Amino acid sequence: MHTDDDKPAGVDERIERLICRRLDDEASAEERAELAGILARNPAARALFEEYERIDGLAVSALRQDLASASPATAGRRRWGVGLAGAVMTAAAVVAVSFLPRLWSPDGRIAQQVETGPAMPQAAVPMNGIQAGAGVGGAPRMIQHSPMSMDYRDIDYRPVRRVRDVRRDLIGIRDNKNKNLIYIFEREAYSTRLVPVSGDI
Amino acid sequence: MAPRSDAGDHELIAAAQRGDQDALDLFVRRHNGWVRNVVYATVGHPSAVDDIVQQVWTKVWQQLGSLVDRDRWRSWLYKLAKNAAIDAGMKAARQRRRSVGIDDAARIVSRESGPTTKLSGEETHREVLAAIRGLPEIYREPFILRHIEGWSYARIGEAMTMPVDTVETRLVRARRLLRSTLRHLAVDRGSDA
Repeated sequence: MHTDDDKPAGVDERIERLICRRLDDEASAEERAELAGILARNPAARALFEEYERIDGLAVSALRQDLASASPATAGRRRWGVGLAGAVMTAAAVVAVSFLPRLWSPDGRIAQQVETGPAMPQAAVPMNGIQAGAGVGGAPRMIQHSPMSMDYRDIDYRPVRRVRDVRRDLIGIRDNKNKNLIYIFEREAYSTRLVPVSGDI
Repeated sequence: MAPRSDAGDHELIAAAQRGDQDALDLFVRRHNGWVRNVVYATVGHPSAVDDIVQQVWTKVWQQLGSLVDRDRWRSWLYKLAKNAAIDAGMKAARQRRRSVGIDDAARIVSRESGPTTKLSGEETHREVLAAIRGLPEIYREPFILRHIEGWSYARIGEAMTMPVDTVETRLVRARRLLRSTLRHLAVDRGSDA
């Protein structure tokens, strides 16, 4: 937390603000000229200016490297392209997911498939919170003929949002023939975290 | 028709509200960078940033229709990003802060035991990041937006809905705290240069 102890010695707050404004390109021409005079005759102010300048440089470098380590610079652009498609798919997917329980037959097989209407933007739901709701995204209608055989016996569909240590992915795959038909797969990945521990154990 | 790349943000928002996906896509490309940085500044770690950012844009898509005052789109988007980051990252951030604290303690012990030891570039990098993550969030956010996005005080104030003077004060205090934490780097390395 900020305390007075953090205040630079020998430099009053107005000069410190001028230094920060100068480093942030916010200083006017007059303020720049004033600061140049101050730095020329005040060694403490000059030292502070150099320290802040140095810290800024280190911070920019560290932050950029850290952010770059998360994903490539183009990741946002690329991922959004996928993300937008994913969101469209999710909108339709939710419709299908919402009907999965109804289609569960006693032996655990999907007996029928669901055809949804076109995905509507307002039907989208957060990727991390499955909100099954009937009638979203156009009226679904049942079709009788399956284009492929799918076995859902091993899938345990649990529409419960869990966050801690669980990452949930929804994978939607469009049917080749019927573009309004989307098959939903749900994958959960459990993550572990290593935390450094100090002291005697 | 695809929107022009030089279309204004208001124009893109209006088009996106009418259902123009190309306009929304262009809007996303234009602003994805700073949204990432807001999320990053809030959670304090890059690992979950892109997942959270995906959620933010999905929410934008869902809720864009509710944005009536288009003049305030930046603060609206900022709040969406911030809230998504808080929702998704609070627990992880707490865990990381604990581990960073332990890391810091280990490094301090290491440094104190060898007074003439020079820090490697990697250690410097880690120390600086730990110091930035250790800043109170009210200082860390404007600091990151200023230093990574290069935003002016006015733009930071617009997004964070605070007066420019407050932004300035927070940036001054962020630097003070970083100087206090990193003084050995700023002075030692400065004199080496």
